[in-house]
Amino acid sequence: MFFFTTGTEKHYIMSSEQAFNKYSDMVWRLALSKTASRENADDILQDVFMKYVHKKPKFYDEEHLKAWLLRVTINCSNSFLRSPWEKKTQALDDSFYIEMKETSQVYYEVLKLPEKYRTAIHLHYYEGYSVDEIAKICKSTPATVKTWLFRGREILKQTLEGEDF
Amino acid sequence: MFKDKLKNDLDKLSPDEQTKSAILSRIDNEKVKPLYPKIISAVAACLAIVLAVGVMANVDKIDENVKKHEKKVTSQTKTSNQTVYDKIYKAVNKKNRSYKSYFGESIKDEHSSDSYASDTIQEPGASKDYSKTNTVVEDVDEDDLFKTDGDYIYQVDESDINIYKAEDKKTKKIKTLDLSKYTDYNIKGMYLFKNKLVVLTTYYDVLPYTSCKCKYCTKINKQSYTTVLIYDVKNPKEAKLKTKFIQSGYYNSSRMIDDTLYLSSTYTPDIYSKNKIKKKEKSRYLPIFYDGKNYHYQNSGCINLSDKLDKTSYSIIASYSIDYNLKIDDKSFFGYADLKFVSNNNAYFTEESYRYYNKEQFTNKTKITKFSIDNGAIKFVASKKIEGGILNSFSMDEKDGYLRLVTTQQKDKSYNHLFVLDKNLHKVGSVENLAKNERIYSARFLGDYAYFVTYRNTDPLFCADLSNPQEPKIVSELKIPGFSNYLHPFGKNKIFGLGETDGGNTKIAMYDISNKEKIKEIVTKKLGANYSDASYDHHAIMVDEKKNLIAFPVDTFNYNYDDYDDYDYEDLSYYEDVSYYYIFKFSNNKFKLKARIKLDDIYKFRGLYIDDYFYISDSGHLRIVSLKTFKQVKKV
Repeated sequence: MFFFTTGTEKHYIMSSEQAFNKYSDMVWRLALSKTASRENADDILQDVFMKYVHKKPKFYDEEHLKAWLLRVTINCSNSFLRSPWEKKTQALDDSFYIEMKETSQVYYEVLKLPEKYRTAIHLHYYEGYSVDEIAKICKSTPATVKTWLFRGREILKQTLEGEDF
Repeated sequence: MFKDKLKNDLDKLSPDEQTKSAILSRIDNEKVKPLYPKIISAVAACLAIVLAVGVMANVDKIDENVKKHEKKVTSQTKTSNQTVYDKIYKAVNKKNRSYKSYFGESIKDEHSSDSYASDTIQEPGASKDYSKTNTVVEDVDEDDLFKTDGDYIYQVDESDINIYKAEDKKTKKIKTLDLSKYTDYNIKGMYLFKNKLVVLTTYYDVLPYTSCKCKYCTKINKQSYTTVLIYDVKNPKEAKLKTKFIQSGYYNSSRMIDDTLYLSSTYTPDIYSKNKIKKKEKSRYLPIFYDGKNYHYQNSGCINLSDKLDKTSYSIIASYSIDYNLKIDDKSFFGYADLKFVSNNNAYFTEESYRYYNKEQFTNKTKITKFSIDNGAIKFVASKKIEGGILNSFSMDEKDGYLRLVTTQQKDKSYNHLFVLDKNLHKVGSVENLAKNERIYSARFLGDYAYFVTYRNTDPLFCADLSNPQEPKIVSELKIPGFSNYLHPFGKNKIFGLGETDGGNTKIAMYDISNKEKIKEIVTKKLGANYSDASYDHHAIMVDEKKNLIAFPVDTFNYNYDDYDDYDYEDLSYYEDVSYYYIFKFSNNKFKLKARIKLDDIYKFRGLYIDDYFYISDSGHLRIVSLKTFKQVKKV
């Protein structure tokens, strides 16, 4: 919906540097939520903007650009999560989790969720996207996204007792 | 509000300024140059080198210590528990350094400790024809995420286990076991033995034996531990937790021979804690076991001190009888070793180390530690270093007491070696310095012969004759483009290979090995896919010669940066990332694609068959494919 309705022609261009300065935090944080590791998020951030440099995409508007970046971040993270390297090293890397446990209020519980629920919770509660929009970004159906959000919230309700959603 | 707190937490996190400026300068550079197609693999390679440098820092000290500790072996039997524990304390305490610890609430211990004698039970699914987990050694079972006994199918879905009654089209889910209180992330694996379901999990928490619940005690007693949960599934609808075993450390690997489970874990003492370890706090530097009734520290005689004490981790192996719900034995030694290969009589741990000559040149060695296993009794046999690194379990094999293995060594170039070691791990025969500048991509030992593939420029499939252990020799070499990641025997005279073409596409091939001196490629088929889970995880592939089935999952995603000019930018489907499950038959020297099933999830697919139906595990669901029509008949 928001991909296609706002403009009629793709004429919106943003330079790579500009896009990086504006959206690097957003991309990095989503990658962090997906992979739960600073190092992986750094690598993914680089991959995403390399794609941006090489594809020189044009957009309808800034919203479209944002959605494109999020979508590419999800794809890069997925490729990363399934790489044999990541599969082998995943079990060891709980240093980030340990750090979050001490410094964050709720984020460490979010990190404990299964990867799909984490993504949905991140996009909904942090980036503020609706269920339909998340479905578009994640290439899934609204019903599935609803289930992810619902299940994620159910777990969080138990782990974060008394939290207001 | 949750939303505000999450915003608060996340806003505090952002990439380092250093990383940011590095990427910005890269953006500047890359604007003109074309990008290498596989950044990710390059990044992984960089990380590997960084890691290697880290490991290297220790190597010199270690060698000195080996000599010192050799003397200690002889006196080991005389020393009491206490003196051994003291030694370990000293060694561990040196490593004590400050680091942020984390703590949370404790969990309740909800085990039921009644053990019961095994009664004679008729084996389930005896009359049915069903597939088993694809294992390295035929009679040595391996844990997996998807298992069947012919009547019921058990499937791991993150921290749940789904149980299905397998009735062809009428298959339905009958029970879900929620194990989230026993596991941190995903369940590591499971086994089926008679009417028992064995589940392996890892958890980070306070071990429930501590009586004191004060803040300090809960804090210092937190550690990773691996749990063996045994469920009675005589009637799967009422699956009940019967016994629980615990051992220190996170899960490494496991095997099962008959009813005996061998479980290996890696335990790191609490050296990163802010609170320095005190001598009396044994739980912080000694491995702990729970045998279903009591907690105990590992007996000093079971800790092998013959090697260096300056490593900060224990590698632990313990054995359990599933039939009798008993813990049998446990052994441990210092190091970060992997349980790589288990034959019917021996278990081999491997640990790779790197030594740098200068900034760029380094060489790698592997320490092999051998334990003999006999119905649960574990005994230390020998420990030796050999040149090169071992790729995976298929690179090792045991026949008539001889250990045969292939390794890749990094020096100025990379070299490949084939070794034959006797029962005390002394080298008896070898073929060294094969295929310079290439490395081993896959290997398979079949009886007296070894087959392995190396790759860089060409792809030789080597065949080595090992019938005389003292004089192994290469008998043939077949050169073809691309490489195979996985080899599997197909009948007596054929080998199936799954790998990649030079362009990075997934391919499958069949080789004729009836004449060892002249191996032939019968047929090769390129698939429209970029990656297959099966190339790194042999549990994902099924090759069954009797049923004539070759089944595995593949992914299609686009890494191609060359043709981005024709790319329509608004078409987000360019990034589409779809997995398929392929089922092939092999007849008349040709692969025939019988089914191509689209899947939902992105990884961890498994497949199995029961009689005439094929079941695919896909993100907590089950897809059922008829092996007569090769159509998906149902999704549960």
